[in-house]
Amino acid sequence: MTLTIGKFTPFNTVIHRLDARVKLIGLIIFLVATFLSYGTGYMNLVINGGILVIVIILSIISKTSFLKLFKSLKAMWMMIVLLLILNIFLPSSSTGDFFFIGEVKIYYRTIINVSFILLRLIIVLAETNIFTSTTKPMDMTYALEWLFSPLKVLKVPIHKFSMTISLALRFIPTLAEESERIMKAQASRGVDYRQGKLKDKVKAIISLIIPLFISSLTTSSELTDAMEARGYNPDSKRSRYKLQKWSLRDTFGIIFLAVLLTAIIILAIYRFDLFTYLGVSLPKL
Amino acid sequence: MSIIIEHLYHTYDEGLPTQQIALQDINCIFDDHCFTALIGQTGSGKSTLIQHLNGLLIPTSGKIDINSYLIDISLIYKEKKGQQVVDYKAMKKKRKAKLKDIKSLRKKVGIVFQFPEYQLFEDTVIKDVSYGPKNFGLSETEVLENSKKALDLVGIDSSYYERTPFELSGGEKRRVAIAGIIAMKPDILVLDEPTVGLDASGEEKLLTLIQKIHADGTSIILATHDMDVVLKYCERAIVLDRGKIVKESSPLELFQDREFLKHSSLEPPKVFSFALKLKDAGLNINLSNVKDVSSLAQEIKRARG
Amino acid sequence: MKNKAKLSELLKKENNIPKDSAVYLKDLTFSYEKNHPILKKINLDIKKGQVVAFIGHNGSGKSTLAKLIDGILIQDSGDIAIFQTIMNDNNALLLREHIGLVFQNPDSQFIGATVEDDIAFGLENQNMSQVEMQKRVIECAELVGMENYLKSEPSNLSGGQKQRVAIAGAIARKPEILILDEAGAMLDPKGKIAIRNIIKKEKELNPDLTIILITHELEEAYDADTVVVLSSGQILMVDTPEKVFANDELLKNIGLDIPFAHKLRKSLISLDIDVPEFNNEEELLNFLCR
Repeated sequence: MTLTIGKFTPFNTVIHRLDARVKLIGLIIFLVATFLSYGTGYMNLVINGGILVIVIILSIISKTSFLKLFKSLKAMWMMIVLLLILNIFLPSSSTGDFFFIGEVKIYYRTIINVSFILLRLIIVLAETNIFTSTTKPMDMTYALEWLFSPLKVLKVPIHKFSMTISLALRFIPTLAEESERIMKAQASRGVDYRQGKLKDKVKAIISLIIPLFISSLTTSSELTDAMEARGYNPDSKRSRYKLQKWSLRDTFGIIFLAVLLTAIIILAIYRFDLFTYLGVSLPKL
Repeated sequence: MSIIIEHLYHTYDEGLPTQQIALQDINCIFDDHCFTALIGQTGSGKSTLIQHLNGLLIPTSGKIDINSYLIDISLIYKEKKGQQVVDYKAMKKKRKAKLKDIKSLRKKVGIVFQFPEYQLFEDTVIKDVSYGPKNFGLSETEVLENSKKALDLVGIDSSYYERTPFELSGGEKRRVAIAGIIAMKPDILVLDEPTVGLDASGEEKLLTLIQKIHADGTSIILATHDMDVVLKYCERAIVLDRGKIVKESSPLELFQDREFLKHSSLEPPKVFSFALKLKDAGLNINLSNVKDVSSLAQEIKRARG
Repeated sequence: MKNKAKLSELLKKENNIPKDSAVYLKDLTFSYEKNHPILKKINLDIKKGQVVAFIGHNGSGKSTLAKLIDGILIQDSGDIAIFQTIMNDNNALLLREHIGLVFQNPDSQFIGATVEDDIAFGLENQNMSQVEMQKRVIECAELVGMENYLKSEPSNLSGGQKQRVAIAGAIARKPEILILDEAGAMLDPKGKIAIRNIIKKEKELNPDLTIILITHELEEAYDADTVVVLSSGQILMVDTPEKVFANDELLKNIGLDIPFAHKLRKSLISLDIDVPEFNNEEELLNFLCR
């Protein structure tokens, strides 16, 4: 077994204890900040660099394995290398300053563009990773339900959606256990899931899928009975056992996020150029 | 067909925070043509042990010899700074290596898991029972013959052959599923709690069937909680507790070992405790003849003269 | 005011049903498929505070009966009355508040993500306040001995533990009628005993609780005041456990086990040893050692 990326890790850090709603808002603000444009390509790099620093600090605080995230995404690295090569040899635009490596003409613009794409990708993955690995799936559902609750006015059955998601999350491990059990039973009947002709493989999959399907149907009908027996009625009002208590750290979290949001909006609107301000001259893009 | 297990250890999630030692230093022999009970509470390691018998699980370390099909993850040593240390890496590599000809092993050892009715998937009963033997490469005629015989043995007649297994009753489904394993003609049949959820008459039918299979020359390993079953049908009993074998003996010896029973959560069968009481009260009961109620009645008759 | 009037209308009590009746069944008939009735004209009156065991072979209709009483299934014909109120489409949900029902399968009735969430599920449905819920959850977890596992997820619990949580979830709603539908059938002996003890404890704490045990295990049925024998959708016998279990012909015919002492007596008689009727094992033992 390897540690799965994005899966909840049962630590007890400040970030873990933060209200899921604060974390969800935080994630959204960070994503917005990452995707806003701040004027020049250099400024985009600088600000995203700043965001990266914050994200790294957050992931250290929350004990999420920042480095492991990148080690495990081998496919992504292949893509990045490909992107790099394509961009360098087939630049999207041929304006601005350039330099030569051997015979190859390389535009500064390309370098900046590629590193910017790379940076954004890393940040987005890291941000999402922090959110998912510090928030229990159920709390996530609560937070999402809360976020979408204004839609209730439009008669969207938010509560039913959220109950469906919660139950699906609850039964994922059960389903996994069940499929392991069936696989073992069929393996004992001579099924080889890895080798064999295509026809045998298809049959092997069927011998897993059908029992799994049947047992899921049974489970869901039994579950429905159990929910009814405990008085569940989708149309009536339900109270909630787990309301996370709003604590001081949540208030601080919100203040921090508000400051951050204001800062990026100001930066995005006024297109403040640090380099002009400092009088540094950089290659034209 | 015998199974020899030496120094078997099994640890789940090794090296992770969720690590769990399921089996510790298991040493036991299942003789040819045995009828052995495997006794233990949930979590005692019973199921883990069973899954080693046909290579579904590979020992973390230890050796299993199933009629000369050898799975050997014995300790490997290496030299380190002049000292002999265990080479865990080499052992891990060995564990990960693919077992050769695993199918030949799975044909020899048939396992009936708990609630085996979940493994049914074909659209007719006969097709489902044939699935196992077919996978093991038997000829078409052999497959059909084995399957019919197996269904006959479990008391499912030919009118059922073309029915879909899903519309059968719970007890029938279970018997069809068990027929699916019997049709593979295993030399050793392992059953994990086969009677759970059946009513008294269903239970008795199933046990009589297992006894018949045993009489036909198949070794039986039966995981069960039911001490009446152990007393009546089994020749040996292996008791597991928290991953260790805590007792290996005949049922007779097991149920007489008051000291052991006191410390374990096992209750001897009612018939046996009653026989013991009779004996304590002075009646000359030969305990080894007491298997069930009718044999106890006969002993009482004999003892009372 | 209008609402209140409506509520009393919904829960109107019928005077021809005995006042001390908790569950009253009249000519109850049910079938899943046409012309294959699972239950045929069942008539039964379960009194308040009674412990009643339903025994019968697999497929005898025991579990169906439980779901009918809880209003999860709807009968083809006949009446069900809970505390003198006849169940109909409009009041089934209200009447269900009187009843707690625990099923057989530990996995599929664990609804919440953790033990505490699961116990709270039924309370959330009652729209209970958070403070009260928290108190109730802990209380009920203690009753079933799961207070140290409040944050545990179902995949880390044994079948027996999950069933204990299911019982806590049912009891938390403070039902006046508790139905256990083979709650121990899928558990090992230790798990079964734990469940029996919990039910006994709850009955002691709450003597007015009416309990319906659906089982095919004799020992469980011994805990009951009354045993109802069901076979092929009909009631064959209603009596005390002692009387029912003395009737071993009947038990054998419906595929159930006979208690040990009765079985032994029968075996001895068939070997021409004359054994008189006895009340318990002790007497049999004394007789045989004489």
